[in-house]
Amino acid sequence: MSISTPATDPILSAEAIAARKPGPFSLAGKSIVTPILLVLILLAIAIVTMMIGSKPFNQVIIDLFVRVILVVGLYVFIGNSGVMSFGQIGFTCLGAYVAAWLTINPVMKKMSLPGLPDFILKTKMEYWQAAIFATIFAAIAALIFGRILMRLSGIAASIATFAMLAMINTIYSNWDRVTGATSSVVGIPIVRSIWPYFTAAAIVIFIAWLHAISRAGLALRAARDEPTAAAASGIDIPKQRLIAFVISGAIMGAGGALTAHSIGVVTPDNFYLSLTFVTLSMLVVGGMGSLTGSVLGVVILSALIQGLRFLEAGVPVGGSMLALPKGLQEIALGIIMIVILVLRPSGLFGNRELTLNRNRSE
Amino acid sequence: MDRKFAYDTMGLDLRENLDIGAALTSVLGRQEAQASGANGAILELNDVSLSFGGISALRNVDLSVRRGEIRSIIGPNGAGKSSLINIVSGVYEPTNGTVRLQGRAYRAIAATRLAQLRVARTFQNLALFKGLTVTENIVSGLAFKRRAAFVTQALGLPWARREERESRERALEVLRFLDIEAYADRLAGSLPYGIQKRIELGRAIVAEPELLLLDEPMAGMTVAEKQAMAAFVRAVNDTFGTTIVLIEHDVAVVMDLSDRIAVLDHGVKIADGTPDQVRNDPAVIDAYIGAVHDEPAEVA
Ligand SMILES: Nc1ncnc2c1ncn2[C@@H]1O[C@H](COP(=O)(O)OP(=O)(O)OP(=O)(O)O)[C@@H](O)[C@H]1O
Ligand SMILES: [Mg+2]
Repeated sequence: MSISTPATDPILSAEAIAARKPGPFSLAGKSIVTPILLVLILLAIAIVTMMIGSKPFNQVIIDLFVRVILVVGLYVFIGNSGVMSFGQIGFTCLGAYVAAWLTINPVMKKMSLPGLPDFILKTKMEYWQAAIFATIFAAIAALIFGRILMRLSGIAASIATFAMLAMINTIYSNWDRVTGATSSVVGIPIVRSIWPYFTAAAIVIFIAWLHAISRAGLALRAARDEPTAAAASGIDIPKQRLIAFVISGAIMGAGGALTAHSIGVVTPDNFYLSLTFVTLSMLVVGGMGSLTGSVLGVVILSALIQGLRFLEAGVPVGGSMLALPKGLQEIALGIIMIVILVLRPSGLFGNRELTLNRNRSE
Repeated sequence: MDRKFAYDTMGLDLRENLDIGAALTSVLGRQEAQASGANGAILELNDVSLSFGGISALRNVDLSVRRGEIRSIIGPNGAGKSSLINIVSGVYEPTNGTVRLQGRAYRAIAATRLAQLRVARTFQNLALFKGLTVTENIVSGLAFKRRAAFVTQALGLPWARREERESRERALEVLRFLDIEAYADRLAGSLPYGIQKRIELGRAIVAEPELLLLDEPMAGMTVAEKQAMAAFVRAVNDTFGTTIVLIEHDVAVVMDLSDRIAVLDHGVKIADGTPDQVRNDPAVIDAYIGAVHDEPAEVA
């Protein structure tokens, strides 16, 4: 047992990894090319946005990056474990409020959220510092909830995650002195540059990829495919699920903090059913089993939504304005999603990943 | 082991693969798990019964498996063969009776503990991880002993990476041993049935279990595939001294491979002994003639 390992850093050079045959990161049959390509696509979008320089478009792309974070967060748990969770947006809610608590001007905070502990009332952090705390807070919450929920499987697990979401929403909608209940918490510093959002999305993509190729990710996908055989191989399924649940929770929390800073206002209902529905749709349409699917699912559906909004607002055609009736956007989106899923039941990408060589099996 | 190597008669020369198998053993630095002389029982079932609601799948079954032997269990469909393996491996809890495995007695055991007791199994209906590659499937068989945590691995810490590499190397050796190296990076679910059955065997043997439970490893195979699989089963037994419990419908294969055979019918053990003893047992002949069978096989 005296095999030495080469001392090169595996994360730095993609070429070296592709060349080395049993390289540590080719284990999962997934290549580092995938996250690199995905990040490059987002980078291209960011650069184009900068060049266009339109404020509304800038906001659209910020929303897109935030959604990428949220959907990749969903993928880490749902995609790898195969357990549908309706509760992850609950962690987004937790993260968003932590960001609000830590970044709102103390004077304002004392008035709007007087029930906060003193040391939080006095604190005024930078948005990125607050985002780190939001991430940690959400991760701890995920650890606590996960310890209970991860024993469950199948539909029972899904319903329990939904109950968790409802619980978080109810608490935050009623805890007047700490969360402002259902009224908007305002005064969160707005971050208008797209780069923090892009950077966070890129980091999250790499974390999701690292998890997917790790022993934990592998074991989790094995358990997803054949739980009995996985258990017989000694895989501790609840533990592997918990690891993914916590990582997912952390990512959702970070996404929550960034959501707060992208709009400057939070209410509990920002982080409830409709956001759950939108993000899950993006995940499912893109392809639950694929990191590529979760990122590009967001890009494609966001583009569709934008396109439909544009039509709804009206396009000048030969002197008159042609506009889609209000509400048709949602209906059209629903129809498009159904069509995609009918044609490709496992999503646009299924469980395939974006790579450069096209000779991957199936 | 006093059994002669007889691979040539099966139309296959596995000796080359066997060298690799032997190398595998030395890589692991493990002694052959062979209880020389003293033939202690590695597995014992005492008075085991199992029923599902009204259906009684097993009735007062006693079974003892000696270290190092190939122990087959045959019987018509629904006889309770799979149930028996499922009890040993912690999938089912018997209604009555105890199992004694590696000196440990239990009625029910957590399925995840089995690997630590150096027991591995395959499934009657393929249970491969279809969304993973062949190598990943095999590596998963080492899950119970891999220690590196997610964080150490993500950071690429040296020992996590060494563990990763060793797992992969071991998997590769198993793939060579089973002659399926060519499929290493393919998705398991996309491969032909016969290959999938071999991958499943690979996943079970990669951790070098002391006891291997095989539930119909040759079902649905062509004659050539069956011969190859039989040769692998024997090779695993010979090279690693692995004790094997084999469920199989093809009586000819069973007669050829087994040291001892137990015959189940309607949940009752109706015969037990060497292939010759079982072959001539009238109760066995009755059970086989009286039963509808998916793969009719000559008993005598
Ligand atoms: N999970 C279960 N629930 C209900 N009944 C079961 C279950 N598993 C097995 N049985 C019943 O127990 C009996 C024995 O089944 P078992 O699968 O052990 O038979 P077998 O000998 O492996 O048959 P085969 O050769 O068809 O694989 C059958 O009557 C079967 O229907
Ligand atoms: Mg069976």
